[in-house]
Order: sequence, then C-alpha cells, then structure tokens
Amino acid sequence: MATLLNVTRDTKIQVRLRAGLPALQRRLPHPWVVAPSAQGPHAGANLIAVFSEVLLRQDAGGRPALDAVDLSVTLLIPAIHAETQDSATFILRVLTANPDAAPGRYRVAVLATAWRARTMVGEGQHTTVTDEILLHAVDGAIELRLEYDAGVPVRMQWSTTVRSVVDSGLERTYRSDALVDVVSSEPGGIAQARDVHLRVTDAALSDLFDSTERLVSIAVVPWFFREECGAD
Amino acid sequence: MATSGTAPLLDSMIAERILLGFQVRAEALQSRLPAPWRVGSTPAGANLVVIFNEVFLNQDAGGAPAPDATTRYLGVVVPGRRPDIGEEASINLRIFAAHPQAIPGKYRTSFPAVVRRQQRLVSEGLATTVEEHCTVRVPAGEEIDFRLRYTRDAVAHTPTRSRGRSAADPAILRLYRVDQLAYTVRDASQGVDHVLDFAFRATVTDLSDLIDGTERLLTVAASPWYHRRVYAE
Repeated sequence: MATLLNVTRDTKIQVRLRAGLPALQRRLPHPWVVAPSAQGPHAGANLIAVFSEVLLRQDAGGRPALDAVDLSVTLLIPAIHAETQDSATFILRVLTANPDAAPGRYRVAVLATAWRARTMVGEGQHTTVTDEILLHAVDGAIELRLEYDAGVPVRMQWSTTVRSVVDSGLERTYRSDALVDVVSSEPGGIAQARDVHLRVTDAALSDLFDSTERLVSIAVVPWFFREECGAD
Repeated sequence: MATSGTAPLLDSMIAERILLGFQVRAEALQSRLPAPWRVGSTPAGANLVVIFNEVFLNQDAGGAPAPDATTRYLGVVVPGRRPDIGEEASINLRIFAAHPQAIPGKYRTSFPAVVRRQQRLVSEGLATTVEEHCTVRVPAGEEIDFRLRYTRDAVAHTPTRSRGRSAADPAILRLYRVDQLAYTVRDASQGVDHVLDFAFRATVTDLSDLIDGTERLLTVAASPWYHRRVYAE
C-alpha cells in the first residue's frame, strides 16, 4: 500500500529539451520507451532538467527530513511502458548541494558545489527576473542563466509515477500542486525569456548534451507543493 | 464550492511576504480602531505590523484567477481584541495596492500606489543571503520605503488560523487558514537576529501619527512560501 513518505515545498525552473533519442532510450530499462510530450507548450520534449531550491522537506511525521533544504538539478526522461502503456518519469541524474541527498533514494545523485544568484525587479504588475544557477560536481557542471518577464501563473495539480534508471523496481508517486508560468515555448510561441544559456559539461551526460539538443520550453514554478508516496 | 466546516470559501492567495512588527504609540493606534476594539499585541510585543505581499496568484472561490490575479501590496494591520466578548482579530488599517482592481479592496481600506520591489537572493551551498528593497509611492508623492538584508537558513512550517476585520467597517470579517513556511529574521524577545542591514522610512501623511520617529522595530519575518484560504463566517 502506498503511504506518504515526505512533503516538499520549493521553487523550480523546468527546462524541457529535445535530445538524441538513442542516447535517451539506452538509459531506460526494457520495456520502457521514451515518450515525448505529444502536445501543448512542451510538445516534443524528451528530456527535462529541473532546477529546484528546496525550502523545506518534511518526513511523513512533519519533522524536517535529512535533506530538508537543497539546491539541485534533476534530469528526467518521460517514458511509457511498451506493454501496459503505463507512463512514468525516470530520474536519470541529480546534482545536489546537500550531502544527505547523495546518492539519494533514487541512487543517482552526486554531490555538487552549488551557487545561485537571482534578482527580481517588480513594479506594478510587471516583474523581470534574472537567474543564474551553477552546480559543479566531480564529473563536470550544469549551469543555467536566463532573464524573463513573469506572467500570470497557472495553478496546476497533477500526479506522476517516478522511477529510477538504476532500479526500475523503485516506484514513487508524486502528487503535486504548483503555480506554473511558461516563459518560453517554441511550440507554444511564448517568448518571455531571453539570454537563455544552458551549459552542461557533466561527463555522465555528454551523449545527451552533444550540441544537437534543442530547447523546447522553460517553465518557472514560484510555488510548489509535493507529496511523495511509495510502498511502505 | 470549498468550505471549512460550514464556512464557504471566499478566495485564496499564493504569495511571498515580509512582515515588520513595530511598537508604536498605543494612543495613536487606539484612535484608529472602532469601538469597542482595543489595541493588542503580537507575542513579541508589536502593536503594528507592516506586511509586504508579492502576490503570485489571487484566485476566486471557484479557483479562477481573481481580477487582481497578480499584484503586490503593502498592508498595515493592528492586533486587536474585544474585551467584552473575548474576540481577537487582525484589524486592517490600510492597504497600498498596485493593482487598480484591488481598490477599495475587501476591507474597503485600499489606496492606489506605485509598489516596487527589488529582491536579490544569493545561495552558496545551503546558505542564502536575501536583499529586499520595497517602495510604496502614493499619488501625492509620499513614500514608504524599506531595505532589508539578512541571512536565511532553515525555515519552519507554521500553519495558522486567524481572523481579519476592517478598521473601516469592523463588520467585515474574513477567516484566514494559512499554510506557510516562515523564517524569523529578527525577534528580540527570542534573541534571534539575522539582520545584516535594515532601514525604514515613511513619509505618507496617512500614517504620520503612527510612524513618527518614536516607532521601534521589534520583529522581522519572511514567508517565502505562503498559501492562504479565506472563508466567511
């Protein structure tokens, strides 16, 4: 029976990309296959980089978790089970600033030196944000820089099944409630972001970031709530 | 429509907040409150709380974006009590709001203003330094301006329930259920002080009897993650 494992409150930037299919597919266990977003502002995306600033993670009893605060980036692959058509998101790699989050429950996290600088200037209803995030691990770094005009976010609630690429038997359910502001979308024709710079030198990801990858969308999440459930 | 017990949901707000707790002259405050309300205080002794709200999304009872869906505003509230019936409530004295659709507002206390905020966060590892500069300029050119710089570490999950009433019409009652992460930046009564820099200046005539140079800052708090649902009684 699935039970509540932890609760996370954080902010995020979700960068969706279209990367080389063979490099993604070979990371998934059989019979899972890469399943890009079919429609909407993220259509075509098959790789997601989620930059998270965890403000507080609590265990099921409400106590601060060991990794109560964090600054991290998580790489995800959307997938579908070829036989059952079940969908899941596979966690591929995590770079984390919190020593207690590595290797983490998905056993794919590595410790990184983390740095972030974010400047927000708002007047009236207009808001401009510049954000720089750098996570530097032993095998290389992941860096994001961008500037964007914040829009009116959309309140979204959804549920996702999450698995690990190193242990597909490990299954979690994420129930999320968030404000989502899509500031860039190539398929949606949204262009509120500028000076976007994503640089990945992490050697473990070099076949995915070989300069053929393409940016599909960027979503800013200024408010995020998630319950993680799993087998007791 | 969502309810809390039998109370209907009125609206909800998701925001970031900064709260400044002052001790000001009680007689000046008392003259602002409708009888039989009396000036109370927060647990730290503040009798006037200035709250800056960066609103990511206001929603109506049905979940649709409210007319003032995204905005920023500064509220001035007094912890009040009615000794005759034992009621405690936050009495809303004034709001200075950026969004024209927020005037006169749910408490009938809102004035239009140009509201500006600049925030810079720098995180190194798990430690964060926060700089805030907020300015409220009313049409007459008068201002409320504050600057704050502090270090932030672990925040606390502090859900609360409270009652809000209006100084303009104390019959207006809004019941707040808040889920939030809160960080105590300064609380002299608890010996907490993470403030690196602070400056506050107010030249707004509407508040000149309260912010007259004798006010004392007692508490500073930040809520980087805030969700409020408001119900009718």
